[in-house]
Amino acid sequence: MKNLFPLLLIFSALTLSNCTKEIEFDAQDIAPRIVVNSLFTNDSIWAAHISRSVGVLETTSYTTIDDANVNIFDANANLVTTLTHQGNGLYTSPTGLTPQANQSYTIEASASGYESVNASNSIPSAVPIYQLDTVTSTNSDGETILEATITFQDPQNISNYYMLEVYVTGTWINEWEEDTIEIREPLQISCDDINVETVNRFNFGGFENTYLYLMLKDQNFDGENYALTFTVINYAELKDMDLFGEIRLVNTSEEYFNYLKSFNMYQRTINNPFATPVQVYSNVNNGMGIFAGGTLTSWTVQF
Amino acid sequence: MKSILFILFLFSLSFHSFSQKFTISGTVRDLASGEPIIGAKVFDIKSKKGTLSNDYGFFSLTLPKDSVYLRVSYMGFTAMEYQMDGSKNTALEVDLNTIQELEEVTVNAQKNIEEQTQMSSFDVSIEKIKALPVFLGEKDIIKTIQLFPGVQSGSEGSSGIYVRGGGQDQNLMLLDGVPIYNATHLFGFFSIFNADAINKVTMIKGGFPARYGGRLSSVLDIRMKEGNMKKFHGEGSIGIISSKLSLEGPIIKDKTSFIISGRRTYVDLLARPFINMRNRNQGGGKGEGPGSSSTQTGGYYFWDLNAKINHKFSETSRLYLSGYFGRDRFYNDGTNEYTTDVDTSTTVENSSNGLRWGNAIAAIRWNKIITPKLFMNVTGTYSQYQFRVGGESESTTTYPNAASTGQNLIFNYDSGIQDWGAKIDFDYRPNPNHTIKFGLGDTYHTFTPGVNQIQLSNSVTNGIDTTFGSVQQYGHEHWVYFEDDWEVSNRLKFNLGIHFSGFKASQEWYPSIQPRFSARYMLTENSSIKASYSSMTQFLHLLTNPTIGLPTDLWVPVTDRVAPEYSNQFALGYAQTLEKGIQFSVEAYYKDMQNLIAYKEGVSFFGSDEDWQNKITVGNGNSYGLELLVEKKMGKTSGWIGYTLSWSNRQFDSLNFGNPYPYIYDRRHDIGLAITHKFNEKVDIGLVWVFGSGYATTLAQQTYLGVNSLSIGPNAPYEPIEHIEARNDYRMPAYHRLDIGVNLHKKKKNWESTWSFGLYNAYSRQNAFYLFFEEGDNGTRTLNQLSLFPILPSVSYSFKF
Repeated sequence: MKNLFPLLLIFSALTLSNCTKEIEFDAQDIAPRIVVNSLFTNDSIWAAHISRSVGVLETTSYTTIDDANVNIFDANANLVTTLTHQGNGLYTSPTGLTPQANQSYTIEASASGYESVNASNSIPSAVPIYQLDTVTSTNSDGETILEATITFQDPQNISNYYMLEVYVTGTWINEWEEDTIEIREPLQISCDDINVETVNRFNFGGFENTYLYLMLKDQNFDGENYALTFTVINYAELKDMDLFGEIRLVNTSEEYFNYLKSFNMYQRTINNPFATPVQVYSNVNNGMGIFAGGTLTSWTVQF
Repeated sequence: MKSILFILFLFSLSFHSFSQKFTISGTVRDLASGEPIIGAKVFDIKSKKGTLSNDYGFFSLTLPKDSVYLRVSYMGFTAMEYQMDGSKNTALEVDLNTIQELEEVTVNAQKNIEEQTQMSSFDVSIEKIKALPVFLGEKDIIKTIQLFPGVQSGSEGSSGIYVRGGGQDQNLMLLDGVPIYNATHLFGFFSIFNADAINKVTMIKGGFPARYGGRLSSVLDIRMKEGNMKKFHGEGSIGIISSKLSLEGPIIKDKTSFIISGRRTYVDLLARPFINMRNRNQGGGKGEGPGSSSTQTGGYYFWDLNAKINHKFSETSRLYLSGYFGRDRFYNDGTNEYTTDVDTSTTVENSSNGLRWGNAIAAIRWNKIITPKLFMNVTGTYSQYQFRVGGESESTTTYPNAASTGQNLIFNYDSGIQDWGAKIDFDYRPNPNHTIKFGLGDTYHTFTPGVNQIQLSNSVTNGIDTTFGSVQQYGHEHWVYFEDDWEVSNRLKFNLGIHFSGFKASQEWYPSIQPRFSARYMLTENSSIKASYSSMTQFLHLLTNPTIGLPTDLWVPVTDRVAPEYSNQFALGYAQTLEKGIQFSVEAYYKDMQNLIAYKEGVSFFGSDEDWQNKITVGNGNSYGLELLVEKKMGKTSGWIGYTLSWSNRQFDSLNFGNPYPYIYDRRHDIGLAITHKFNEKVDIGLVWVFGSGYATTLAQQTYLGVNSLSIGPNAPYEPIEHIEARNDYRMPAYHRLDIGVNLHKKKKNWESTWSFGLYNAYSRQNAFYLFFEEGDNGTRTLNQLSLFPILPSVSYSFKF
């Protein structure tokens, strides 16, 4: 502010004053709408988080909708399942009922006082990992790192979108407290592949291209056997703990990919006054949010 | 054999007919100053054939060998008439005298609007520009042009122009034939054009003749004065923002003349006492202990200078040397000195930061009348635009019992463009039915599209000296054109042309063939219909901040990865001259544009180390509309009213999810009214009223929680997201404003003076410049607007000698 004083003085001198005033917000519709957040894969039950949007002139905080009707339909408009509220706006299907690969689904959500919303998404077929190679090496700090390469066959003449993440799983025995802890945590991975989107990239531990998950599309390798190489950064801490690495490759729908990419871009730029604005992708009709899925294949490797 | 004889027979016929004609050629000039008169009408009353003088006052009229009654005329000047027997070619130097009387002149002093083949264009007289009230009393060519239909002004107070839905970079602004890249001062509030140094202003929005190329949406052709060949004159003005002075006169009478015109603001000087007062009132800088002090100074200023020398070798050969130099600078310098108790060290910090930008252009031009029918102009040009934001910080710490330490940091962000060009143009008038222009040229561009420089040095460690960002890029832009203004009959006239241009990037060569067509058909003596088609290609792009134009906007070339922009524009119009010389025109147009570029979502347009080519996306646009103009050029009361109804859209596959959206300067209704009334030689008034429906802007109208995870579960995190339904889906409030001015003239023998009083925004309309949401005291949120300029009085004193 201090440094802007001369400029402000000049502008004040030029303008004699500058004025702000309240004006009418001439928008067609700022009434709250239903927000549906549902990202799903074939290895989990149906789940959706239902909340309400906040109109730009409201000062209320975000609240969930706990009495919504939420239904899933298949491509023939047959009811697949009705989701039930589990608390805090989370609605789930019964156990054992999971999305199926190569299917199209529609979600409809309604609640008293809101316009009904719906969204549709087609889940692509699974793309199996048919090969995994791992190599251990030492980084510049003398720590052991694990470099893994998965190979998969990209379907030809179809636009494919992929998401890859690595989890550490297993059981860790806490000898001091004589306790057993089930572990399942996402790992940070590093990747220099040119086809990987960089919107969710960050720097960590000397690695410039670090991710919690990778996103890529097959624009440059359509129909090819593709080898994707990445590094598990904190392998050194895990390697002697009898743990496993679960490599999860999800063949996502385009909507799933667009949401993740735009959301990450939005997060990166929200506080940057020099950045162009970002529209976060939404496919929910009459509402907001995302209803999108993908088909998972995984490969487990012992660390 | 027979065909050869037939061809020879035809040739002999044409030669025979050629020998039955004679040519009158020469130049038309202002008697008082020697300035060329552009567009003067040279008309033979007997044969009803005529022509117009070109940009250098040259004319050529070939007529049948017979007696001729020639009339040379131009608005505001007394017509000259000549009788000739038509026996031989005649060179004629015409000097027109300014009309002294106030009465309305009803004879056709120049081509009426319905007679002109060129549609979608208008001229603005410098006298009109000086008579109209304007922002803070600064007479401004661009501000006046913004009052005409089809020309949008952009944001409040801006000197940018957006013509028929095109972007700010799609306007070819020529100062004596040299392109200008950033024609604004003070972040766009003023233009760089000093009206005192200008002779003629022509704006073309469509139906572009083939001699113009390189931009999609408009040509603003500004011709500088050449300098009074007869007498030494000066004029100037003192205003509340700036002062200017122009001097012109002969170096060698009737042979060599000069004009030099300079302007400078003094806002920084006016602000200096307040800044000094603040420095005195402020306490010491950081730290405790004696000897702490802090001073700061800063300011903003701009200056510009136009200069021209004009030398006449002979009646058929002239040399011109002209230049423009201008600079804007915002600066903020400070010194901070403090002593710490801990080690009783003393630190002195000097900092200097700010931003500056400016243009420098130069042209050397040689005119030669090669034959009475053929005129040639050879031009060498140089144009440079540079922008820099940066600063320097230096600190030195001295210790009572140890060596002193220091650190110096320099950071700069530079962008700019530099052109070297050469061209040759011919004006050939074989007979009154054809005015042929042809020529060719080349420009060598050097682009600096955003380079960051950091230098850090200190007394302890090795320093940093690094440069990063976009690399410099080069390219040759070349062109050749041919056009013919062809009078087929008394009713029907065409302007047919072809403009061929190309741009050589490092590997790619982008050729472009651009046909041009205009037609005029006289329905009656006073009315006509017109039609035109133009294909245009642009080899440069301006990467702009999507919210507000700043000097940080980058000029970038086409490259091996980024193709040129193209447009096609169709226009259809009707024009008529009504009673008392009132001109009426209506035009409809449609324009499509391809390969427009814009920043991708989420990229940082400033300070990033990423090459600009990785930050852009490519798309298309279109615009269409209807323009109405009623104009009265003569008489005590003159002026115009214009109305535009228009749409302008953009579509980028990677923006707005591929859906079309309104261009930010899509303004549905636009009205411009400008009137001056001359009571007598001593008093005249001016009035300007503008109205525009709101521009498009992007406002998030809802926020919601979005999942920040790859799946939904009880512990999945959620983050607030501002939901933008569509780009530019909200409309700013309508804009309207009234400006009033009065000019009081006093004339003595060798001195004329004028006091100008004006009110900008006379009814103090709070026009929205920016919209934002704000939390109120009672827990509500409201939409608010920031307005810049309430009612602003201005006063200036101008003089002429």
